[in-house]
Amino acid sequence: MRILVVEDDADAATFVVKGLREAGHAVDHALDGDTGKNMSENGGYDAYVIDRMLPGMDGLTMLEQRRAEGDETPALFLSALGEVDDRVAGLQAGGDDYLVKPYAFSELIARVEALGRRRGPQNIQTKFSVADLEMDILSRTVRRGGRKIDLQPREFRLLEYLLRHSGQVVTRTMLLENVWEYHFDPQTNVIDVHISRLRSKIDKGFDKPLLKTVRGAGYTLTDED
Amino acid sequence: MEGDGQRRGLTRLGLIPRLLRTSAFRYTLIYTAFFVLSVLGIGYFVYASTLGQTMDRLDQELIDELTYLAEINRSAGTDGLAGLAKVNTEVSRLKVVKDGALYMVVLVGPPVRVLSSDLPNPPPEMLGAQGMFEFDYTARTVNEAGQVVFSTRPAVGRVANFIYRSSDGGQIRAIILAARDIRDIARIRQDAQTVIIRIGGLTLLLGLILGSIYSGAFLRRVDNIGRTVRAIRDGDLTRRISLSGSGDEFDTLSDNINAMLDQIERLMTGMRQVSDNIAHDLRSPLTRIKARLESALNDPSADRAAVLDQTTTDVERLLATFNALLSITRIESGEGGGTKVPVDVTAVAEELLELYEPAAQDDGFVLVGNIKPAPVVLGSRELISQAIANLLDNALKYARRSEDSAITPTIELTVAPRPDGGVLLSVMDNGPGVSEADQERILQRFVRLERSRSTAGNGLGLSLVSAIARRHNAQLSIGRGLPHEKDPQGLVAPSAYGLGVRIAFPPAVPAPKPGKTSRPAAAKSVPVGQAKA
Repeated sequence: MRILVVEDDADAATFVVKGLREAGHAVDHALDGDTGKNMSENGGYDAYVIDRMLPGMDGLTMLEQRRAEGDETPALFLSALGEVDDRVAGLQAGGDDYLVKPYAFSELIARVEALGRRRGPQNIQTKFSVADLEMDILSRTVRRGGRKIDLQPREFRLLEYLLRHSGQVVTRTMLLENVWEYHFDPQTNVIDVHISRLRSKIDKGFDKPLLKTVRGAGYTLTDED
Repeated sequence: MEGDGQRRGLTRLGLIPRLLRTSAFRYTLIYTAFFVLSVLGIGYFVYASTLGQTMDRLDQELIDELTYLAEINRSAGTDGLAGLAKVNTEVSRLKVVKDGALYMVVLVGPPVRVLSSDLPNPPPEMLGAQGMFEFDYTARTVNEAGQVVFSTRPAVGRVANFIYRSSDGGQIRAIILAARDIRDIARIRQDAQTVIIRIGGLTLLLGLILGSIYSGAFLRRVDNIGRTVRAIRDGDLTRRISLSGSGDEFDTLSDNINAMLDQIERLMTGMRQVSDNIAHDLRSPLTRIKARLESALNDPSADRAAVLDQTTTDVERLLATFNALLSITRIESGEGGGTKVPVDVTAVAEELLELYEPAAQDDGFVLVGNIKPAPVVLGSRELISQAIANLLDNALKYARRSEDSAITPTIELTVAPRPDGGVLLSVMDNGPGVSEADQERILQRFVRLERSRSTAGNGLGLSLVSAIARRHNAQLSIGRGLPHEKDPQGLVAPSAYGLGVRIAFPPAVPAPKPGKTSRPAAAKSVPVGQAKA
């Protein structure tokens, strides 16, 4: 992916840019909103990572103007402001995701990669599959190896989210935000338990486990080892 | 102290200019000016109309007299001066009859001859006078001691011209002046003027005095507020504005400012507590991290990966604590959580039950939902969810039992309507419970009871719940939870209870006053009942 990072904190930017490059992405960096806007106007990016508070033009204004100019590139806001109102403001400005500082880099990269996937026809896709695991959104059925698997409604949504982001790392916070719509982190390992229940339904009795734990980051649904 | 005295001295010196600058004084001044003007106006009106009537009467008298004299004159014919002689005789008679009457008969001639006069000199005003005119004359009187006294007196007069034909065919003109001494009226007039001016002056004086008192009182109240505000600005947050007790607009204002100060003080105290607690609770883990990193730096044989791993965990926990503190502060300052919208607490509770059920089961808990249909509350779904999640986290953490316990650890999440139209939310467990002495304490930030020191947590969970409850104007209470089952061995007394946390949300719509709305309904129901009977 080609990613534009607009971040005024040089240290944080170096860290983010380096990390994203190591993950195999082409990264450009702008130090302020005006430069960021100019660079984005040249086009060709798959995702923006924009700090909300920037010198000169702030991140919200920058993205708002780009959206007004018809730029549909998915964007993720980085912000120290993490309350519900702040998130709403970020989404209203045209942001696709919102990550509160301080964040773990694994969280950032998982979200940026999820953003890149958001483009394209996945949202209207009704059938997903990884290896021999298949999901049909319309008939609300899940099969593995041809055998039907019964899932609770929430387990279905959890699996749907994992399938939509198959091959990518999905963090606990992303699951909590997208499957349960909460923006706080419970102290108990509630998500892990839900995952292990789901895992017992889709992986138990099959040779190859598909739902894997990524240590220190989250989970991924993939048939690669 | 010296500075204070000096300032007070300056205040006293500068009091009068300050008094003049107050809006109260200016209003009083304007009001007084209007009042003085209207007093003067009324006085002048009374004076003018009363004196005017008297003067009109006098004028009429003079006109009548001159008409009468003209008739006498005419009756003698206009040839020669026979008429004038008659008039002159009549005038000397009238003078005796009428009190204060003055006359002057002048033959203009030629030759000019004063036939009779009560005045030493003809008044200059009489020449060309139209209608009644005022003049001063010198009166010659004899006082009690027999001396001749001259005095200037006011008078009003009218003149009439009589024309005669002389023997040679020319015209002879005579002027008759009929006048009245008006020294009594003039005295009354003088007195009235004095009275009006004095009343005006008195009104002005009273107005100024009243204005000073009024604006002085105004200034005192404002100064009182100002002094308190200054003291608070200088750092004494405990000061409050004293109320006069009259319940006037100043009291209302002061009351509002005091309430605001209370809120500010609470926030400041909260902030201070937070910073104290941060200093206390964050410094030790930071010190630990620093020590660990330093020793790893100095010890080449140390397992650096393990140290980094451990440090990352520590930093993450620090961040969690820090974020929790920030959330609490934001919620308490009314910043976080978005705008208030109707929230269905039953749905929120169902969702959280679903989220926590697997984790509870894994930990050997029975998680019971006791959700009854309840009205909506005004607030934030996110915050209410977070409060419930925190309470469930706490219960899972602290209501744990040892493996061999005969009691099944149970957590009950209840949502029920309240009689006042609000909603009761409670999370109860049958764990070891909290002694009454500790129940108040556990709401405070960073408070962790001794026995939970060993478990993970930052001591902020309940403070956050408490802040969320306050944000929703809800009543949070800590008390008894579920009773412990009476186990067969009788090891646990049946009177033992777990911990219960209850949050009573107020009604989303304030309950209507019973006196007002229930009356028509009651009145309506009576005829229906009668009809049925």
